[in-house]
Amino acid sequence: MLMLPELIVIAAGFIILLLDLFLAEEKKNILGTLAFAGLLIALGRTLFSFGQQGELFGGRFVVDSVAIWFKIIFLLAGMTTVALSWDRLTGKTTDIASRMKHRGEFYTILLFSTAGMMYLISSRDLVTLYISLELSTIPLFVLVAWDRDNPLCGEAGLKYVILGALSSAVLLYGLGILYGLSGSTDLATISQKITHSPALWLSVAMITAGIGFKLTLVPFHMWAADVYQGAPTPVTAHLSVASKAAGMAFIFLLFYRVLGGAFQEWNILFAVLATITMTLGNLVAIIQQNIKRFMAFSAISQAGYLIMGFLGPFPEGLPSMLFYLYAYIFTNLVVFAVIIFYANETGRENIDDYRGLSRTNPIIAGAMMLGLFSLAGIPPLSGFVGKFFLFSVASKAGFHWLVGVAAINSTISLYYYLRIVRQMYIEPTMEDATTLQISPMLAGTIAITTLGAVFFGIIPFFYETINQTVAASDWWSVITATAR
Amino acid sequence: MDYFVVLLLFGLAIGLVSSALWISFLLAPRNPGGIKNEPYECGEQTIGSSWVHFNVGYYLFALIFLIFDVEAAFLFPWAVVFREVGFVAFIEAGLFILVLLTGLAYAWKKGVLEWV
Amino acid sequence: MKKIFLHWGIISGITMFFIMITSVCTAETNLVTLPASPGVGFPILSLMVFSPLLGLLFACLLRNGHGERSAGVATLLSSFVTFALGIYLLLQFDLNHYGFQFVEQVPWIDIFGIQYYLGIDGISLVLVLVAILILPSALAATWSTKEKSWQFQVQTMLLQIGILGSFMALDAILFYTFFEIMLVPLYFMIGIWGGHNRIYATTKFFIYTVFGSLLLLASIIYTGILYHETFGVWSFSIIDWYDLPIPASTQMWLFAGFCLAFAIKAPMFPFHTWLPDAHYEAPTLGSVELAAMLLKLGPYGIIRFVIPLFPDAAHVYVPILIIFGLIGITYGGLVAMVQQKLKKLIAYSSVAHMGYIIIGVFVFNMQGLAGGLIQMINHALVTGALFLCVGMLYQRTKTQEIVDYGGVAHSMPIFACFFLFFSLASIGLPGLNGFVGELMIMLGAARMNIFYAIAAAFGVVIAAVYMLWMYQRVIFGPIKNDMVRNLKDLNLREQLVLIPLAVFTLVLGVYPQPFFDHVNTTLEGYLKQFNAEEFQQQHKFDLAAYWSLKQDK
Repeated sequence: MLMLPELIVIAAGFIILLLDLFLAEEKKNILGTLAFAGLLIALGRTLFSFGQQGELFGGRFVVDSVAIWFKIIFLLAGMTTVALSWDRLTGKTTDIASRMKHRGEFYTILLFSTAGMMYLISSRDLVTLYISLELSTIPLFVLVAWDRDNPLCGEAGLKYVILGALSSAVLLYGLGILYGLSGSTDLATISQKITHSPALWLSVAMITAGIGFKLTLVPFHMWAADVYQGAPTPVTAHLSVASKAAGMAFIFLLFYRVLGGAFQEWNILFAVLATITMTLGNLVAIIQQNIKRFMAFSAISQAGYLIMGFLGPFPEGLPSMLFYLYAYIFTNLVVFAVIIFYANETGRENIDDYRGLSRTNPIIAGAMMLGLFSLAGIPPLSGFVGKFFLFSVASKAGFHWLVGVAAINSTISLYYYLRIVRQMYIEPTMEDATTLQISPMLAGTIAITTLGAVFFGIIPFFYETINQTVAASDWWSVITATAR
Repeated sequence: MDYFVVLLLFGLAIGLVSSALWISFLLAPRNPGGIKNEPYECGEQTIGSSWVHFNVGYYLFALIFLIFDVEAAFLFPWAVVFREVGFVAFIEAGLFILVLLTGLAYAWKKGVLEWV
Repeated sequence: MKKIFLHWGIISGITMFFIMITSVCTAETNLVTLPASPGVGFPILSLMVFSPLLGLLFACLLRNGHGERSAGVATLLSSFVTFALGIYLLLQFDLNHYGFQFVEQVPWIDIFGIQYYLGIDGISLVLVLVAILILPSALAATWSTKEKSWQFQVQTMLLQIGILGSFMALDAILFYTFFEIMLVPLYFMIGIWGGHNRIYATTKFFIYTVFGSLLLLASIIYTGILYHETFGVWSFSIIDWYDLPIPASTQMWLFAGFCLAFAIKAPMFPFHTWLPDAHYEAPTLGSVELAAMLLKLGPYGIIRFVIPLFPDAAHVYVPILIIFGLIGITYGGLVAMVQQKLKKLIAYSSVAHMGYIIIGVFVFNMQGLAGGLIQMINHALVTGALFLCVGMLYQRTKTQEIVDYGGVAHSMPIFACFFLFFSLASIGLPGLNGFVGELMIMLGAARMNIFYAIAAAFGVVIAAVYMLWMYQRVIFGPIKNDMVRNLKDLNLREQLVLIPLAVFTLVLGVYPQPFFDHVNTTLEGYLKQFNAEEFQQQHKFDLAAYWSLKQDK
């Protein structure tokens, strides 16, 4: 029963695929409901399995609290993407160009990708790890190129496929070296058998490069802007949230579980990566005009903050990173929900086009503002609390300069997040602006994500819940056992 | 020291390729001309455009074939040890085939199996 | 423009309300009152901090359906509620108790030892009292301007929550939270209701302040971690931090991190450039709150955090900072002299006044601190009142240019009286409060180094020049044009706003003893706790000894 959530998601994917073949076009609304319901049931089952630990296939598939927290993120991201793409797939958008076709396949592929991510965090074996990573990535290639008649979208898809394949290859080389050094594909065995050698560091470098691609760490970020801009916006939202969380899960498994003992030696790598990632992401975001490109660079800089959670060789590291991941997905989805809403209704995607949104749709503009402020880290929103935890981790690990850099970067980020707030609130209203009608699906998404973004910051017990449950997992004892 | 071999191999690989290119650059006679840029450099003039679309059906057929080819490759070892692995493996193989059949059904319904 | 802030108001209102309810509920059950700390039976500080929520919620609910002033009435009434609570607080305040009173302590983020921890001592008491006096005055003064819209009122209430919370917070993270909450409403105040160049001004203001406060956050985190490493438990409480021994080399960095944030906020030369822009573009109420309350957070933070936490670093930095304060006084005054616009002139005079306060705080003796504190109050009252006066004038004429005025005394005699009164107070005329503050600061400075006091005294002369010259150009002389001729004098509401401020200005100037009664115990204890004597000895510049040394040579 441990694998039940994954099985539910996959089964829902297959049912949707088959139903799509035989349902009449006007009845296909049920497909979206089914996808949502499948993810929801899987989410319920996952939540229900807190406190249960167990393994299948001789320890190749493990469910523990860390895995459960990550799976909740993946499922939530999947559900939100279903909700965000609802209007586009059902053809209810005012802007005809933003409608999307083939909804049965869309949901199927989305569910498969989600299942891949869920397997990823439960894997304890290089082979299953890599296969589940590919299962989560290859569907994303398809999703990115969904709107294939749009040249930008096609370009995005092509870039994503080629660079994604390259990064997978590099990653696979790294994993192969790891296998060669230890003679085992089992993560626990590897962590005991590996010793210091140049080959190990070559492998670490390759793995970092490969997974840095997923996480959009600088200098492996080049694809992000074009892909984020070209992909259909719900897919962009999914990429910025789920794909990033999957990358974090992968890094967690390899660096904490396998290389955890050699903490002190590789955390400088992450400190440097974090520094250049957040700095470059922030500086380039300032000059963006397209809001999706803008969010791409914002996501890059957020990835820089996120990996600060990996710096600390102490038990607060992982919970802080998880908390920020939660804060980040909620706040990021608020912003993307508003972007999708605005693009659905007007087809506009430039930052200047948001002029006067606060006067036509005040509540939505308010939600967007909260989301942006939370991304920038203004207290008491969740982004601030998350950043506080991450800064604490970095500071406790001895990287005080990094905290300073991150603080300066937060100022820069505030400047460009304020650009949008300024457009919405201060600049004169667009000439043709009218009050836009929001669909119930998007309204619900915005409401729920905004509440999440606000309340995670104010109600602290969420962090404590993460901390307590994560403490029940064996990740920390793995690190201390292999510490050198 | 163990890694000196790797470095050596690395250097050799690069050296071999670059020297081959360099030598051919030095030795080969060069006589560039417009006709050399034609797609078929076999002396014949091409008739019509060489940029033609193949029927997408070829690719789809090849894909479907590939799926069942791989299926067979998986099922052979299973069939050899069928008696030993027992009923559970039978169910698992059944699920595997079911998944592939779903793909076939999808392709069929989408009209892949119809030529023209 | 009708519905702009509904959502922001409601969301933050509900959020804050949630905090308030939880804090009040938990306060009933697990309020951990310090043994020796006096207080009342209910969480009065929480009530005060979150009482502006009443106005905020009502302003959101009433918005435009009940007449356009309904939101204004709601916020004004709620500011009176805050005021009443403040008066009760003042009456219950124990004058002879050193330490924090009315303490409320509830765990917030328990894992990191972060608490919802409020408390006041004499220093915060007087600042809180000024805050609750200024707000109703400013609300009433801007009654009939464009700031009457309910969206603006919502921002005002949020701002007040941030201000009161910052002065009362005893937990560094809580302080930081309130500190940041203030920025958002002010950003919108300037950005939406400001002048022509408002976007530049508001962005500059925001970036400057956030840059400082993020370094503050980084330093707070580092100090917290240091505390954890030293004592093995997490705490972000300032009171706990006072016991934390910090290595001198570390102190240098942390001092810089903390002090930069507060220096930007104060603003201390050379970090002052955001202030004139923000002031000039801000609407009247924004200017008043900015000058009167927000700037005070700089010196307050220095008193509360910087000097007590990092005494060793303070020894090193203090001479430099005092020099910066002196430059601020002179430079602010000289630049004010050549300003063509009323608000910019007063803004630069603020830079000069804040220079005095910074000197008073950093000389770190009884006279200096008490003088700095009373000067903070003076500056809040007087500069606040000056901005209100300019706002009243601007509302009638829509011009800030000094050259457009002249002979205002003929058409607005009452206004001219008030304006003169506050201008003189700003210069530091004996008998008015500015004199008391500046005198005490100079006394304190003289105790440390006589040259500091001499240099600071020049500032008073400069202040007299620019203030009186401005006054003469605006108020006196023949009536310059029709615009001035047709000015209407202050109405009853405007007079009622200015009278209390004038009364306090006069009372503090003539009889400041009640003020000193309230801060004395705190300051004495404070100076003793943080070894002010030793500090004085180290930095004392003995002119006589120096002189005789020279003679011997």
